[in-house]
Amino acid sequence: MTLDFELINEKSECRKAVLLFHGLTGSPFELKKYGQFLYKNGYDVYADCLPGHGDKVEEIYTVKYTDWLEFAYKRFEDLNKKYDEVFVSGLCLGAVLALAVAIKYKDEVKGIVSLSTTLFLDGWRLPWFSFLMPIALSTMVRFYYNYPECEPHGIKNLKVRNVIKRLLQQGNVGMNDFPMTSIFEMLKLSKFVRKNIQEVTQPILIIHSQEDDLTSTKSAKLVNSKISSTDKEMIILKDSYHMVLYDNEKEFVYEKALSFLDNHSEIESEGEARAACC
Amino acid sequence: MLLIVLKYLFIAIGSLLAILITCGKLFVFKLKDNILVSNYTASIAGGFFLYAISAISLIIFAPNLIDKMLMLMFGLSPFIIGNLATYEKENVFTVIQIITAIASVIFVINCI
Repeated sequence: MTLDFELINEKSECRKAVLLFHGLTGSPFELKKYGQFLYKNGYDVYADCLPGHGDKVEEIYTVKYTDWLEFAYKRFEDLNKKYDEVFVSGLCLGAVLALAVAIKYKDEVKGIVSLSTTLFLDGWRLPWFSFLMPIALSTMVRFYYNYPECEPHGIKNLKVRNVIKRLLQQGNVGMNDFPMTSIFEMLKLSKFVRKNIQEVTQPILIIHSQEDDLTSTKSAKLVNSKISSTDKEMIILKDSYHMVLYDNEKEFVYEKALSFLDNHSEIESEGEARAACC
Repeated sequence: MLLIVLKYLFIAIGSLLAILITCGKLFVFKLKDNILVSNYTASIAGGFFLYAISAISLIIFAPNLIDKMLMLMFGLSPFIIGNLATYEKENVFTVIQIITAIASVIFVINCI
């Protein structure tokens, strides 16, 4: 079963697209509502399972951060050939990948929407022994442990959280734990992006939750302070946890992202036409 | 006095690490109890930290340059082995780690 999705306007040639990246151990499912919203408002949207996250779940244990980078680069290059404007956006690990793509393709990425950017794992949900993580990750310990997906699952809204819990148990939308080997790779990717963050010059919208349970606002603030972009905006949400695309302020996030994309796109949207046919 | 304390501390930690990793691989990591596995794994991580610190502290008391280098290698071994290890060869590297811990304990007993 593939969770990838592509929302493409078949009726007329759309010239602008958004490439979305999901989070660690997640899937494009977590981007679907967001993607559908952008599609209805005039953008073609693409979201794929990252390497190690598809049908062959065991690959998560062997995937390297360079695999994620190569995949993201290739995906962007493919879309850049087809569209006049390509924006990149992502959640969690996906946000870090979006930044990595922006670093590499300075003149080609039209803009970035970075959601719950995870450059550090320092959220309030992490267990008491998380201070041992640097040691755990650099020794054999990283092969012995999978950090379990647990309350609050990145979602403050109880109703939504229960739905997501059910879907996770069914195994349809993501993994039930975070292998430490994948966390290790994510932090290596984070280090790579942090080292080159000043290369980001494109317009950027950074959205992060004050109460993010996985990664504190330190990540968002670092991006905001270190990038070279002159056109940047950082929004700190007050009533959501990590999964901002599904939590209490999701509509606000969608609207802000759309507003950012529209303000930085030189191509008019066909929003009304798409809303009618969707 | 300090030498005796450090020496026996290292012997205890090295031995405990070897036992913890062995029991972990054979029994504990297969359990469904997440909290137990979490705490157990954290203990091993903490053990590696103390092992490295105590090994590096013993460098001062090593009698000659070769022994000092060996103690340094033992101290850094969890990180060297961790960085070289791959998921596919995890069991092999686990055995290497256990053997290294035991070898370091034997070395300290006999040479320091």
